[in-house]
Amino acid sequence: MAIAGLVLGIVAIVCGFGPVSAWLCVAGLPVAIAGLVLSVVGGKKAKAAGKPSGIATAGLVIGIIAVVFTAISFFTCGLCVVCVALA
Amino acid sequence: MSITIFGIELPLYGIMFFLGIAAAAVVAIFLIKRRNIEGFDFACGAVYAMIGAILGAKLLFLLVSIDQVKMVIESSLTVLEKVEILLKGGFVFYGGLIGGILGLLVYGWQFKTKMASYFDVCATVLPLGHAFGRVGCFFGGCCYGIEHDGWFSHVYGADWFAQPDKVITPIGVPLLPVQLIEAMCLLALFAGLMVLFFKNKKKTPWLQTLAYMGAYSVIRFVLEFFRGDKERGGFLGVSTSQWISILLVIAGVLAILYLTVWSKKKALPADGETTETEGESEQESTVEKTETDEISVKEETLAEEMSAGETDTQ
Repeated sequence: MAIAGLVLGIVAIVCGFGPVSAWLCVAGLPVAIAGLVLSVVGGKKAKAAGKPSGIATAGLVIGIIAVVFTAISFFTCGLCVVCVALA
Repeated sequence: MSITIFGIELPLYGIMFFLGIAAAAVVAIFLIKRRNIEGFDFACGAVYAMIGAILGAKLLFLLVSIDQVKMVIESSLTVLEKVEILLKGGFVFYGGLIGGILGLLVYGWQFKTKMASYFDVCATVLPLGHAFGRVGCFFGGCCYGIEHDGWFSHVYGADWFAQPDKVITPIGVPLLPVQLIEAMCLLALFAGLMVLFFKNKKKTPWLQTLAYMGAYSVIRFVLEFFRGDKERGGFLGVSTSQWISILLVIAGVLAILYLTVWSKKKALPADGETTETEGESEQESTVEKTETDEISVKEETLAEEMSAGETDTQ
């Protein structure tokens, strides 16, 4: 589960580069969120079982960076896009 | 407004948003040690709060902009374009706050964790991150104030925006920079909460959370009268955010009543036994000061409270 979270986080970071494709950026946020949840649950399970949670921690960090990347694009694009569409 | 770093143009709005998260996270790292919270656990809780905040902020934006949402849906755009516009349309802070609270509650429920300390740390650092965000709003040109031509005013020029013909911000009009005023208020609130955090030697649960709810609600309620952007919804002449401020104050008062009155009756049964919840333990420490005929019960409670504080994060 933690590995899946890490992979999704990496995918989301790639998606987060908005200039590549706006749609990829939109898709990046839910992918990053899914990766974060998987990392949290995986990390918690690993700690409960007494196993190392390094991958989960990496997934957590990568996922947070991915959310920031995609969210920045969301915020900055959102400032005027509705009005542009309605104009 | 944006800056160029290594040939890449970065919007200041986004940069301030990122800096706000980073600053709040750095302070939180220091605070969690004071509450005996493990870093990984807090990060996990923060992730749930962040997810809840994003969803809540977006949902509330769609609710308060329901007329614009209908216009987008009824427009001749393709489905993909409509979805993209609605997803990117904006966020409302209060929706994020409520969503973040729900996210933390879900985390506590899912992993059977007492959340009072998590809430207190988050409530303490939240105004710091929020202040950065408001400065970002100023740079982005959103959440602007009413028209004001005094000494403390700001005029957005066309050169402020990459596409000045596509923004809703009034260009060339002197406006009250209410974003900066709110940022200053939030920094003052952050300083006050930090003092409260370190003065709270007994680690009284929910203190910072309730203080934040009350103080920010008042700040926001007042500053809403000075907001110039009209696309945030409202009812009976009061904006959506002001209604939420009122509800938050009511919720805060009810929470204080619960912690100081209702749980007091529950926490002092006839046989002198105490319950295990933090709020009730805290309540008994208050009772200790006023009812001298139950000193032995209070001593037991105090010991349990200290014990609960130490094992809070486990």
